[in-house]
Amino acid sequence: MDLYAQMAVKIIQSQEAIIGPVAIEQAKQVSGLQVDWAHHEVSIQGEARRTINNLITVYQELFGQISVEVSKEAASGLTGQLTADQVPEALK
Amino acid sequence: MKNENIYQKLITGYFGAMLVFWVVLLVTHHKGGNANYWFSFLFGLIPLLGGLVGMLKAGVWGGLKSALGKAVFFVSLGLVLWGLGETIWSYYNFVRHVPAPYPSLADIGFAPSIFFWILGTLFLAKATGAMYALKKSHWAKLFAVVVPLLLLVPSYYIQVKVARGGVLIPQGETALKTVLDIAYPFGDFLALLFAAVVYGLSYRYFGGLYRRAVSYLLAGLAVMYCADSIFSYTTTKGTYYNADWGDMLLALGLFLITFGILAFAAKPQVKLSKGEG
Repeated sequence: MDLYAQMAVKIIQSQEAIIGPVAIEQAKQVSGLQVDWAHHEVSIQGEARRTINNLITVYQELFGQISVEVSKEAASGLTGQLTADQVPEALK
Repeated sequence: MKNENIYQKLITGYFGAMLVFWVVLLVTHHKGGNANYWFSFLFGLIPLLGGLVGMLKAGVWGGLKSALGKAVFFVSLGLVLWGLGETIWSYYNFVRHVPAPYPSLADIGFAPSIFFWILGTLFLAKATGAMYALKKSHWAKLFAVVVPLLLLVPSYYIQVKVARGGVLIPQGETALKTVLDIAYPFGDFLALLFAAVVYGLSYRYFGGLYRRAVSYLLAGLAVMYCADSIFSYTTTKGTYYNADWGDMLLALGLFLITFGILAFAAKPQVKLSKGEG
């Protein structure tokens, strides 16, 4: 899995701990994101940064800013490996 | 009612009917008898049925495997217990002809309900960002310390001085009544406290589709605090009767908690805005 896909896994996992299976159902609705949660695998087709932004947006629509903060925390170990312009806007 | 689900719409309609029933009792000066007992029984169905739906639907959020699932389950369990307490209360009303059975078997339902509401609110705090705020901000920690101190004195005044005439445990009480006399005001105080702290700490972080639902739930806990204090006041003064204004406030508090929790009884419908996805 590339870095963005790993990032998506971490974000979905962190949301799953809070909102349960709804986190996976919402992730499956994000265009460009293929989720195989039985194996905890995610693949991204198309523009990865935009897909991560969209993933965080669906969670934000449900619970607001806390969803963004939780996502940032979950992905913090991976965003450090990217240059500033490679980091998805929602995680800055 | 645009964003409310079918369960919320049904419970709102039912509460509206209860409100009409209460107004009819008020204007016809009914202060006892079967009509008043029916009001008590029927408003007890709000938490009983709403709580049952909430418990069954907690699985939507992962049941006991996620923070929100636990919150929905435990708040709902508290509602069911309260509803069972009210059903037992009605048994004393209709069958044993006791208008205000306290203490009685009804307290087996009423007393633990507060504990489960507090437990549910604690899990809710994780989903709303209250726990996050506590972890990240010194102001949040200070807020969590100051609010209990600010609430303690007025709460003691309201619950002991006003509602109980300055006597928390009257002389010659049974051990059970003594325990309940302490447990109810203390439990009510804790529920109010957690509602206030969680609401305050979440304010900056919590939003989205469920903001209003959680606000209703926490407001319901605050209303229950007021309603329980009024119940204590009227029973102390000997002016309590079934379907009095304190009971109407109880019905309102239970409706708000139930309405809030039922928002989580259906799967969320999130549509990405144009240009996203």
